[in-house]
Formats: sequence, structure tokens, C-alpha cells
Amino acid sequence: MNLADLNVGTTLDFKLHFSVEKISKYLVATGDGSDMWIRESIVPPPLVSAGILAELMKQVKLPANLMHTGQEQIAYSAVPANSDLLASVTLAQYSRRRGAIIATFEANLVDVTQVLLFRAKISGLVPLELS
Amino acid sequence: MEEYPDHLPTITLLISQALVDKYSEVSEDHNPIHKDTKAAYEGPFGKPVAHGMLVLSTASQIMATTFGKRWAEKGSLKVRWKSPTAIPSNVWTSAQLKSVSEEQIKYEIECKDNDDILLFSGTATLHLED
Repeated sequence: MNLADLNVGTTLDFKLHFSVEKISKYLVATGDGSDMWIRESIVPPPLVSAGILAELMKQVKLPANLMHTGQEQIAYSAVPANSDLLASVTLAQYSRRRGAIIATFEANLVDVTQVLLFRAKISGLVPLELS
Repeated sequence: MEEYPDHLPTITLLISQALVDKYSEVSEDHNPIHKDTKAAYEGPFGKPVAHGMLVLSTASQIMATTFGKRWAEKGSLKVRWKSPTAIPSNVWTSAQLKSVSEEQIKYEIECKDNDDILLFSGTATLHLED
């Protein structure tokens, strides 16, 4: 499905899982030399956001000229590695303003007992003259 | 009340094509604008640029370096991207103490490149209450 096919308020649910191997690769790919993430077996918060974004992009074809303009993330608890997690991502805003489409997704991440671990808000802009 | 540093140690990162390629793999974001491709030059930035989330990772690193696991447990980040990050670039992320209360400590975060162009700015907050 395409971004334009979604209505504001539409929620997509998917499963997430961050292996220690994935975290290790992420640390190398971001130049993060801290051993805390592996030692504590927890997921770096930006990797949580990146994982949510990756799954969102598998479900929704985002415009090629979409610019990621803003990012918010809130940790309520450390996100554990090697755990099954559930994400709900809602299209919170889709509007035209000043020659661009503004889209905002809001995501909640819970564990299998439905405890809220993490929230993210992803904002993007699509210039209409290029779309 | 616990004392907090006015400035956190700056994080520097060379955004090379090799690093961007590794990030593409781990993030599963293979958008051609992150490589030296025709699509990148015809895209919204007119040149290959790094993933915003790769550059943003430095903001989390700067907070985790000082606050450790507490950052992963009770940290929040709010940023706006101001400019795309060209490949290659050296980026510098800094954090300056903005406010302290019993509930939270807040730092202003900025990331700039070698030409002093602001790449993103925002706030990083560590929540102190359970």
C-alpha cells in the first residue's frame, strides 16, 4: 500500500525482535563503541526507532522524495534484546501545507505483556513539486 | 540534588560511504539517495546523503556516554533535521545543559558538520521520576 492510501488514524501492527547480533551490527554501523548495550542486553533507542521505521517501510511504500524532518522518541523502560515486541504505528497527520505533504506517524512499542516500553513520533515532508 | 555537567563530551563521527552502507544493511533502508546514484542526484537533496537516523544516533550516544543505562530506561529525544548530511562528512554532536528540576534534566543538542552547517537540533531529556 502507498502512503496516500492511508487515512489519518489508520494503525498498523507488527512484531519486532532485536537480536544481540543486530545490535552489534548497529553499533559498528553507527561508530558506537559502548559495550553497555551488549553487556546489558538492551537495544539502543535509535535502533528501536530505526526498527519501527524499517517495518513501516515494509508495509507502506513511502514516496522516494520523502524527507525525514523530525523525530521524537521516549523510553519508558529499556527495550530488551532477544524479546518479542509489538509495535502499533498510527498515521497521525497527513496534510498539505506550503507546497508539501506533511505526514506524521506515531508508534507505541509494548512487550508481550502489553507493558509500554517506548514511543516514537516520525515526521516527514514530501515536496509537491517533486512528487 | 545531583550535579550535572554543563556540557557533555562531544561525539564526532566520520560519515563515510562505508559507514552509510553498513547502516543501510542494519536499518534495511536501501534508498538509493544514500549512495552515489543517479537517483540521489535527481532526488530531493540533489546529492547522496546519509540516513537521518544514522546521524541522530550520535545524540543518543552522547547521552548514553554520560548517563548509561538510565538513558535507555528514561530518556527522551526530540529533534528536527535542519540540513541533509553529505557523504562524506565529519559530524560533531554537542549537548549543553538547559534545565534541571526534580523531575528531569534537559540538554540542548546540536549536530554540525565540518562547515559548521547545523544538521539537526533538539532536546534530550532524562526523566528522573519513576
